[in-house]
Amino acid sequence: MNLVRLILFSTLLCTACSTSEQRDPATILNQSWAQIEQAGKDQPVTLLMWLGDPYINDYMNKYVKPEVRKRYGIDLQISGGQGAQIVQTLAAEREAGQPSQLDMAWINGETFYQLRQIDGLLGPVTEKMPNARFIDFTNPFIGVDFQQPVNGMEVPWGNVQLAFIYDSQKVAQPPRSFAELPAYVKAHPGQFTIPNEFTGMTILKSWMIALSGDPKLFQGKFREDVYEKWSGAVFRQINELKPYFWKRGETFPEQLSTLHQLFANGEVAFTFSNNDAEVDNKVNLGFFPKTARAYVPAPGTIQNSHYMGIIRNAQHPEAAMLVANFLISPEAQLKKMDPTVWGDHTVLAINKLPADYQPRFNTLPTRRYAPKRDAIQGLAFQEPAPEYMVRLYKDFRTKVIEANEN
Amino acid sequence: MKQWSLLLWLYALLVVGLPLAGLFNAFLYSVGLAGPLATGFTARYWQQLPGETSLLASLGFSLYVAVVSVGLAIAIALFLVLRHQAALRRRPFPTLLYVPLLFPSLVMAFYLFQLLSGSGWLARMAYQLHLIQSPDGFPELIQDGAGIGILLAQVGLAFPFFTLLFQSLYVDARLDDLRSLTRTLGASGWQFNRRVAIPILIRRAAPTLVLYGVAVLGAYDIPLLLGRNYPQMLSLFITTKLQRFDLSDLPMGYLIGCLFTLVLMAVIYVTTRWTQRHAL
Repeated sequence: MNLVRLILFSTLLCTACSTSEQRDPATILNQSWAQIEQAGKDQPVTLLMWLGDPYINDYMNKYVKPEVRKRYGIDLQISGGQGAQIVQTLAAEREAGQPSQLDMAWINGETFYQLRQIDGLLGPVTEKMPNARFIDFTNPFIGVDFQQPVNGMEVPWGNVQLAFIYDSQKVAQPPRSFAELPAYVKAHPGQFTIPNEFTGMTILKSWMIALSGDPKLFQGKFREDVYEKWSGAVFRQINELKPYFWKRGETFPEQLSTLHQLFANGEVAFTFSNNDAEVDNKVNLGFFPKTARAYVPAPGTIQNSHYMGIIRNAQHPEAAMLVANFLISPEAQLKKMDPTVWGDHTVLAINKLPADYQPRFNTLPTRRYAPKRDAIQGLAFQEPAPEYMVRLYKDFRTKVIEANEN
Repeated sequence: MKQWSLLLWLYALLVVGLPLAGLFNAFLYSVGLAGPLATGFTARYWQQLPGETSLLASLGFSLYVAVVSVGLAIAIALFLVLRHQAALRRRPFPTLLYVPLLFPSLVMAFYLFQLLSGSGWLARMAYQLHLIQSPDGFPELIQDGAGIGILLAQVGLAFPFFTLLFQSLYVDARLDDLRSLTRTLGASGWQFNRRVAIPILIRRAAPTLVLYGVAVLGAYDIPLLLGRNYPQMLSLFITTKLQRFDLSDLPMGYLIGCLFTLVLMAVIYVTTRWTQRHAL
């Protein structure tokens, strides 16, 4: 009898949890912008994003949240989470037949790839958004994400490029190219390492493209032959250099924040950032010394954009679209690009902006420690297809990290 | 009375029902019946399990950390309780033992990281005192091959707890009286410790010690900060499979997590039964 009661109770609990109705994506997207504005007002919006940087958190909490509340009465609730966590949450909600607890998420190319695999995004949405007209979607660093056409399924938010960061007081002449890197590492043992995470994999991808000498090889769909040849070349070079890496290459930092810490403590001479302007941000915070500098080694590094995705089964998709549209407004993008605020490069095409905004973008406080954008634009590679990242991550573990023991 | 019964069932649902449901879901992932890329039943992941050589390294390293750290902590605690009774009863020593228990494991890991890393406080002091020529000269005590940093953190957290536990059992079992009795019968202090005190303390504390060992086996934050990428402790190994970029790794991650949980449940069950049968 008690067991029956328990089952009844559990069933009741589950039924109670699944009473919310899911909305038809086509109906949501068929609305005009005026209707979307009307429906999205005074709604809560749950945004899942990486919360690892105090400047970014301040930008969201002290600027974006009050602005969307003032403009639309939207209560923007921000939670920490990224990558596979977003994908797994959405997959579990879908399996349970539940509408999503999330309305939007800050994503990068590899998450975009995963979310497309599980059909987790609402779209196309950008064509609905008035501010999307300022974005040049023909720019391959914005309109194509990890070799996948964006096609309106995610809203570009910022554009960044991988940069090397070093302490100019300790490193007089950093290696100016990937070709110079091996000799430099050998001459300065224990000063260099690669983080075993997203930024580290971006270094490996850039290194691979640099060794190949032909960035076009990595455009388009994943090619096994290209991957095997050039990842093999990179791994051979790294394995040769391992005795000269930090801790003799017997271990690698699992997180970029750990590498930043090692750099700040002076234990290593280099750290990296997927945001070419991050060094200004970290120096301003007092985390890096004022002698820290960022640069892009020749022949270049990967430049990519990061995006906002609207969740397919979101409960407040209209409100999420209003937030996303605000995030790509000239005002919000200008604020975000200021190195004293965040330093994230805009996704807006300056020449498409209203006349009064163009000089404001052009006269922003300059980067003090990071290279100027104009100076590194010629050193930018497109992101290869996501499979390169997936494979590199696996092979870096088996062919480099675990190779110590084999 | 009925209300209490309902509450009890609700509690059972929370502590047994939901974890079992989670375990069942993990099993479904492992056979291709759940998950974002599930395409129907498959035994592929179970068949691939023996090929996961890193898993064996991970399992071996986790067992090594659990056995060595709990073993060392037990040895220190026994030494203090059996050889330094007077000090343990004198303030502020008993209070000091409570201090590490207030530290979350992540705080302990971070403290040791700051203290023992190549650019940590000790290395800097050693460098200033000209004991080493460069920060590289400081011995590797964290992110080292033998897991010394992880062991130090685990022992640092465990030995005060074990000492307090043994001390309470020592008083409870009136071991001071037994010590006097064995002395009058001609036994030496060592004989009393070896044949009477240690067996009583260990057997009475066994369930707690095993549960603590299981917790160390599944530790996450300490090895995350103080360990190497390879070998990784099991929880890190599984988390890596579940949280990285490849969705096709999810079934294997859930499979290993599911098996790990079942093995730990079996270990706890067998140990609990054994200690009940051999209770002193």
